[in-house]
Amino acid sequence: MQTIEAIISLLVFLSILPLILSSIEPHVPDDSFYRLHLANDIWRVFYLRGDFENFDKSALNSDANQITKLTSLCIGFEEEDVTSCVSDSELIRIKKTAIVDGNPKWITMKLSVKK
Amino acid sequence: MANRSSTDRFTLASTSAYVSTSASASGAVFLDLIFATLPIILIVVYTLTHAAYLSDNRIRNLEEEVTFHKLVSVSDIIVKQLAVQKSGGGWDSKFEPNLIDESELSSINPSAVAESIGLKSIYIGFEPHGAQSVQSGTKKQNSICVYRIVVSGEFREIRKLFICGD
Repeated sequence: MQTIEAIISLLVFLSILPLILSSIEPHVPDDSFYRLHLANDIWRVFYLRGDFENFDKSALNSDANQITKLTSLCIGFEEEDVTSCVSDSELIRIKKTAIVDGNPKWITMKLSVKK
Repeated sequence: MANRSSTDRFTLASTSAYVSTSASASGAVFLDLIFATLPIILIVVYTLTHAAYLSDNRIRNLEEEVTFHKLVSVSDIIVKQLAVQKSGGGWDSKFEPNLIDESELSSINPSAVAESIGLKSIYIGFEPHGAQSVQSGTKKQNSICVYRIVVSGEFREIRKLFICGD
């Protein structure tokens, strides 16, 4: 009887084990596509506001701060030392060209969570 | 006669003892069976309940993820085509992505959009102040939302557009 009991218990445990293991891991939805859209939105907003004309750093900083207020996301331009806040974990970085001092230059824009 | 009577008495007594021993043994087996099967039943019931809960949870998460991705797709169409400023007309019309025309935004029919992507309802509007300008711009509690950063108005103000759905 005890052997049967042990076998049944083991079978039940083995059948539920994958479910238990999958429930231990928190479900994190894949939002990488959305992050990419958000990063492109922000780049586009800078462009529409004319911040990339002559790469106006003060205008970029001001608009980046405003976007941070709206979204709680930190925006940083790696090569140009522009950042809107102290960041925690990085969400996405995109690399695009902008005209800096009359020359096209690769600029990396980084989005991260505000600390 | 007396001898026979004593023999009968002995036989009767031993039979009675045997019946008594057999009954107590089967009672013990029955009890043992109960105590052995009870944990198994409890384990099976708990397992089934837990599995049903996990399964429901997983289905709900998947549904939310599908809704989220649908909203991301809709938001992309809205900020790139449906609600943006357009120049030109017909096939030559030029769209300005992320430059929102509020009249175009108000002309979007949320229920038609929701129906086309298989959602119950969609709510579109600006946060935090502009929700009143859009007819459907009231956010509903417990709905899934995506946000897009856009510019609108004469001075190209930076605004946060929400698209929520359930």
